[in-house]
Amino acid sequence: MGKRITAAAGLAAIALTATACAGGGASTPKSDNTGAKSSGSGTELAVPTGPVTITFEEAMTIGTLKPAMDKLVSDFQAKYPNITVKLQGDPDYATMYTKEKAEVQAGNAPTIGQAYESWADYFQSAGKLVPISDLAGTDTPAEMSTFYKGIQADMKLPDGKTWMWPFNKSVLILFANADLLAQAGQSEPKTWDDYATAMKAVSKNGVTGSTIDPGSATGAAFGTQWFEILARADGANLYDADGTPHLSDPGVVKALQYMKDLKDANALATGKNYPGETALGAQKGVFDISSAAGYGFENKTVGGKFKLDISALPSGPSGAVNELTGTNIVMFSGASADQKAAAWAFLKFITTPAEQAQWAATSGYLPVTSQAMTDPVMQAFVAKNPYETAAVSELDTAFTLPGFDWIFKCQGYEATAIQEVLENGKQPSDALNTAQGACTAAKAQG
Amino acid sequence: MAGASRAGRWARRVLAVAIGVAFVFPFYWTVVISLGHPGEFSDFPPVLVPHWDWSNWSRAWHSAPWLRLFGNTILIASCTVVLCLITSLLAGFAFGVLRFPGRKVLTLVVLSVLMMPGTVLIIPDYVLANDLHLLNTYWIQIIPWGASVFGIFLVRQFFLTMPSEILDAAALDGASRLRFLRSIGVPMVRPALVIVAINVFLGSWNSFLWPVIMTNSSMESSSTVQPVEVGLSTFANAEGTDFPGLAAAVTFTTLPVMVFFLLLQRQFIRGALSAAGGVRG
Repeated sequence: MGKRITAAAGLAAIALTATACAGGGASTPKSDNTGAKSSGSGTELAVPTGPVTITFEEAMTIGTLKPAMDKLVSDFQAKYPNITVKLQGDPDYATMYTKEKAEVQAGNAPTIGQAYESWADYFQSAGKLVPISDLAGTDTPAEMSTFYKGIQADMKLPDGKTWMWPFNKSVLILFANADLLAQAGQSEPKTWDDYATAMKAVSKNGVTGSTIDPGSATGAAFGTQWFEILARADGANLYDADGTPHLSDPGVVKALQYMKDLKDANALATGKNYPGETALGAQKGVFDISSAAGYGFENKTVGGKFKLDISALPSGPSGAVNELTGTNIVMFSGASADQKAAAWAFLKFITTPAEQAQWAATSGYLPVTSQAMTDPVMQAFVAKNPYETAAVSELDTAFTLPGFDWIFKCQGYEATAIQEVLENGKQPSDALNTAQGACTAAKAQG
Repeated sequence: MAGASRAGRWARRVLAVAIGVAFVFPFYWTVVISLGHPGEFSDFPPVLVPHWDWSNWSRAWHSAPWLRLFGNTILIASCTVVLCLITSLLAGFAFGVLRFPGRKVLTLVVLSVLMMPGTVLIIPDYVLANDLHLLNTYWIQIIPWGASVFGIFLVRQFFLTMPSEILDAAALDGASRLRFLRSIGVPMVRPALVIVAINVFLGSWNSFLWPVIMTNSSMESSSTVQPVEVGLSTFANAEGTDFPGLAAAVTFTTLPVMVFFLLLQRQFIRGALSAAGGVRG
């Protein structure tokens, strides 16, 4: 009996060790070039006639986004009753990226999924994506020409091919407490110089002009994107097309110095978890730079306590500059032929003008095609939300960072530099020199 | 002298009340936010009296099958605790009491897992779960957590403090090792087991990333195997957070646990104290 229990306990220990050490494989997906042909066959995939189920990894699980997503799916399924779209909701993008990587690694990827440009680069490098040319028969399908120019550019990876289809796109806009602004004798800022003046003027009696989330080493936030916009608006170039960083260039340093000056004048604060929105709602902040798609959340936070003014971002010496936010959709190469055809039909369907109008009016994201703007649903939405016209107009010129996998890391280094300057008093040039070195190393590692 | 003693008593009472308020206030404020009007949650100074607006509760209640999620959480946490207690006891006994070749090496291998961040392993773990066809099941949320390195280590440490003469005496009396474990070992390590149970239960209750990655169930589905924590995550995304809705959901998912604890707190405390008594005895 004693020996048996000894053996059992020993086996239990070994089993536990095995359990605890489960895994251990590499997390980089093995390269698999099936379905990753780079040129189109010239023939567009036809909508399948038999029953097909496609899966869609998405994060539209909250607030107005969920009904908007459900409507897209129900409209599509009404038109194609033989196709079922199964949504796989994720709570946030960090979790979604981990999950998509795990699914791809396990050969269990969804048919389609939301992806940032850098994610798409990661999956494409491993041969796990289907190029649009395999679906449409061409790298530039007819629908693409109706999309805003910024959107069109965003569909391609650095190899110049179209790998993504647009989905929840937006740009940053300026939310402001119109009442507090008027009390301080200020008006809607048209330039970043005006903005600095207004920020300093309203920062008194316990009110701080704006509170931003600078982001963190693991990811960018709206504060990081504002920094990038400031640099570009002043004519600076953050990254070359091949991803070469210029984070310590004088124009970029000037953008961070602009933010530091505001912080030193007690007109700018930092925080986490949508701090600008919270401060605005508490009437402790006057401005919040956030995504146009965040309108619903801002409006709820304000709750009618004051007049919420919404406008396009101020401009700089290089004119009106904005950054595209949100994700695209990619198709994973593990999908069957029928699933690819069905998913392609879905992708085209959701970017039709009528569906884009419905989607934009419900979700707050911007329509990717100008044709949606003449739809009655969209016109009614614009009548109630005049900021939409200005936001949409920036989709032609909004920039995106080069779609390399490691750009995500570089944005983390930018965020760290912003934190170091605004929270720890470091000099912008020193902080950005560190970021430049780290980003250059990340690029070299690939 | 008596005055000083009375003052000390009052000081202790005031301190106790202050600490109590500090612990209760966050939950109270969550309830107030959940019953507030739109935009109130961001007010400064904060609103401290609820306005009994139940619309947030209604919206939150209809956003997920909460009863199902709640049941899932209890099932997963309970099974994980039971499994963990068994494995911690057996492995702790093996590593702490028994003598077999490679014992030290195996102990070190198990302990080394403590130094590995879980997030590093999640993708390989997903691949393994997929190969074993465990995705989207209760099993994947129970089995991998059914062995706690912390639990094994703690139980082992308790066994290591036990004089070897006790085992020798039991052997002389004809007790098998299983009998020894049941009759002498378990009572002696009961405090460790209580700590392991509480620790594992809380860990399982608060588990988020693992179930999100390992399960795909839709929130509308009445057959979802996901826990409450995943349901709560549906109130936040990249564009913003529905704070009043989240506050309502947190309130009605936390309330049953709090009531359960309040009703049984005497038994809990008595159990913990008697477990501690086992050490001294």
